[in-house]
Amino acid sequence: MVRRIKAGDSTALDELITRYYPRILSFCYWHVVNRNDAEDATQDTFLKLVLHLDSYEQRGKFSSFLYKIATNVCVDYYRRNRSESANYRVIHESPNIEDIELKDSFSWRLRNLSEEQKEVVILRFAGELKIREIAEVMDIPVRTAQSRLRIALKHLKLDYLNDNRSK
Amino acid sequence: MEKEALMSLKEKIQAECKVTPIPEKIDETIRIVRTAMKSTKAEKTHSYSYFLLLQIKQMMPAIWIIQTLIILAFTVFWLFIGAYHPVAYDTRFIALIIGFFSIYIAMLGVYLMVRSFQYNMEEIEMSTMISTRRLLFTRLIILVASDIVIFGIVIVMVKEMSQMSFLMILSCILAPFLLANCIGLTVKLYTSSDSYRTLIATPAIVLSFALFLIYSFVPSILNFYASYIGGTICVALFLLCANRIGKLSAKISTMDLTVEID
Repeated sequence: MVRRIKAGDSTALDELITRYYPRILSFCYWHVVNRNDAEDATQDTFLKLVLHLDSYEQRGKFSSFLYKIATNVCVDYYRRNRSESANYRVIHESPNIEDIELKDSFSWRLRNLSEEQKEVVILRFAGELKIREIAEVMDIPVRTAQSRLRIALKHLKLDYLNDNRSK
Repeated sequence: MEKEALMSLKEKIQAECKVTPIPEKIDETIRIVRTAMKSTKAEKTHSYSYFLLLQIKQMMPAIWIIQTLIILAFTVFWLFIGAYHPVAYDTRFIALIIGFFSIYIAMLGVYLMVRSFQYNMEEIEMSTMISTRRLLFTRLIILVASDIVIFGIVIVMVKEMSQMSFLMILSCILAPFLLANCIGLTVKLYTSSDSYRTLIATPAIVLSFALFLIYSFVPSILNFYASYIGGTICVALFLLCANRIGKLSAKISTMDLTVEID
């Protein structure tokens, strides 16, 4: 697909954006302040991809390359919006108060993971990347990525199971 | 039970992490990225090496053919004379032949470098994205590279077939070559003539004749070639050449600035 885009095939470009937009949006959403910024960051990611496509040498996975661009874009957004901080966010609305509290607390726990663990979780579940790809994006060994994911899931599992028992 | 809880946890994390995009936003992104891609392609410039190779293709094949013919003529003539007369191995004769050869190679090079000024081509070149100055230096690079190859072959041939030292051969090549370049470029700088004959043939013939006279009546000059004096003469001529090229380049820049766009 990358070769087709480099050759100027705009259908391939549309296909790529349609395929990766939801995942990149989810990724950016967890790194910026609000949804608007997430959408802007997603757009910037694809714009930068087009500008730097020539530097992609088709050695590693394309998704890793794309997420690296997304990471850099989010870092720029973070630096720009450093004064604004969002500790947690309600993503879904629910009429049930208990559900809201539960979602809030789960979201809170997710956000309360360490930066590295949160990154791995987001790349795994929102980005649907494999461990090897996550390691490539974060520039860490595969074992480190595995261990961070395991620890993050362990923390979240404990809290989740406790919540379920209290229900 | 715990497995089920784990599966449900993973589903929960997935649901929590994922954000549903708005279709209009996806369309907007596609539209913006397509536009960006088109303008990126338009702005893309080729690397200098690609530009250099393109100039080689653009250069008149006649130039390469004439240079090759000169080398062949030189080789055949020298071998022919050498087969019948020992003068072919005489230092003066060899110096004269390679001197003639250098003069004509130099003049071809000058013609190529100032080609832009024939038929007012410089106006067309200035209206394009390629500057005439850039073209001039690109041609200079190509000429220097090709001349190094040609003279390398000549030096090897002469070294094999004569007793001349490397320094003497080099000086016998470089002195007439640089002098011919200086004269050719000076003629272009200070005359408005773009006639091929005036620019190339006349100075070449005059210089060849002068060389013949010098080697015939002042053979001791060849001894100087191998000495510091010969080296100094070559360096001085080289600097003069560089000065001519610099002035030509400056003249082009002035022309670039004064071109009026309607």
